[in-house]
Amino acid sequence: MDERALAAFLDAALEAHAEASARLGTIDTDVDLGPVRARVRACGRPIHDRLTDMLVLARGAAPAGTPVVEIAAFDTATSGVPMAPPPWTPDAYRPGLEIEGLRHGRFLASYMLEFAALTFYDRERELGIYWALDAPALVACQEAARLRNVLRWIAMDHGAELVHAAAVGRGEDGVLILGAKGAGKSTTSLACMLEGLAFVADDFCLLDEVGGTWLARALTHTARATEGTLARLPALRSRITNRDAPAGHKAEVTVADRLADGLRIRALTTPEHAARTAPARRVDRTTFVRSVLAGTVGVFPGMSQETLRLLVRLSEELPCYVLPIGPDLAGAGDTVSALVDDERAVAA
Amino acid sequence: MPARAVPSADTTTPFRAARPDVIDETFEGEVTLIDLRSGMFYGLDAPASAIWLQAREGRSPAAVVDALAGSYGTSAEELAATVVAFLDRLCEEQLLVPAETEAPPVTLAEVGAWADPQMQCFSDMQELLLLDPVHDIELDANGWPIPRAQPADAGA
Repeated sequence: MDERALAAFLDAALEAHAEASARLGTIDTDVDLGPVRARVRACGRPIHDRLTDMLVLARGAAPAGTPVVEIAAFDTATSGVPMAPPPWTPDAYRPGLEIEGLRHGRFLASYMLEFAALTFYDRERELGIYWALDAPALVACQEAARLRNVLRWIAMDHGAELVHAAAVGRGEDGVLILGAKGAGKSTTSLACMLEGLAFVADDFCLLDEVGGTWLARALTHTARATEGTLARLPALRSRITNRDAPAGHKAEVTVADRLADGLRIRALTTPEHAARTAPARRVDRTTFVRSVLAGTVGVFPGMSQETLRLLVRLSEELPCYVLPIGPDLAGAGDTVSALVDDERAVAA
Repeated sequence: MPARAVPSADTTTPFRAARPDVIDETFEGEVTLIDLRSGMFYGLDAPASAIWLQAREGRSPAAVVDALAGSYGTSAEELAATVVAFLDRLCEEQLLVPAETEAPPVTLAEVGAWADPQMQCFSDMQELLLLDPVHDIELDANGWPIPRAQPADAGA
């Protein structure tokens, strides 16, 4: 795709954002992504709330020298400002939110057809755009998730990653739980949380290498639970925050009171449906990587090669385990705790 | 429609990995390939990986055969039929496509013993990647795809 046309589109989109800002004002919200901070510059309350309500926000000023990358956000319904026309053709939209020609390289983009919402990022200028046709019509739980695309691209360009994985642990040490949709990441991690383990994420988390250690951090202070998970973990019901969500949407449960600041990752794991919960079982990395590939690579739009490379690197540096989890989930926390203790001892 | 180029039909035309749709990574001496269009992923054994690593940057089948013969310390004649047949398969799976230019050969690390190349195919990712197919979209006045209007009684 013609880079000049894409650069011109970004300029036009930023002009539209400036016009929306003149009409509605701008609400700035900062999110720390490890070595970089993202600043969401939202025009008007509806898009601000929908994009940032569930994010773990930055506390205080960024440390000196921390780059700050801006994401200009507005919607047409609230501001009355239309988005500049797209510089690509209607046949460019691909399954999985991607836009042909914008999956790698200088410009990255994703488009959520269900809600008419665009994420566009210029990696060279380090500027992002989030535009929605109608912010009030967006479903908050989904939109918070969709901002993660641009947050992931920003993080990746600064050496961090946003991975499709849960993270739980004990003290300051923990494990990543990987696997495809339905593998049991959320259920296992939430069961661990209810058993008192430290909790970072049930579905995706920020992963950053700090001093030779992989550190997992939370991006959202909510988790998502299916009706099946709620039936197995009824204690979660009191934590539901979206009781008025349309039918078919997963329950959002708050985990804000249980979030750990970060966990040093000691092992990679994946859940396995078992007759009863048992101690973690070490597996070779080839078997492990191939078993979690489908749930880890290609899940988020763009930069899939980099995600594959990261997965392979993690499997080189960290031991890989299967977590046999029984249907009643009892003892899931003990299984993870024992694994973390063992690997912490090895690391020491 | 022109016939798709296949290595066995022309061993002098270079082929390359179908980037960016096809991504790959090597670990434990073996290549894992993912085709993001189809959701298929592939596990290549060591000989198959050696072929892929020689071919992926843009090399003719003849050049791939010569390079592998050097790496494995055997004759090109001995490898040619098997290697070209495997390159044909990579093209059939659309993992390799014709390249504009020929890239220089790659120096491979220890390659072990030669054996017929094996490739395992997995379809685990198809369900994930092929969700929400995009077709027949409707555009607003500015050219942006919009959700199709729901029937009047939808959700009633």
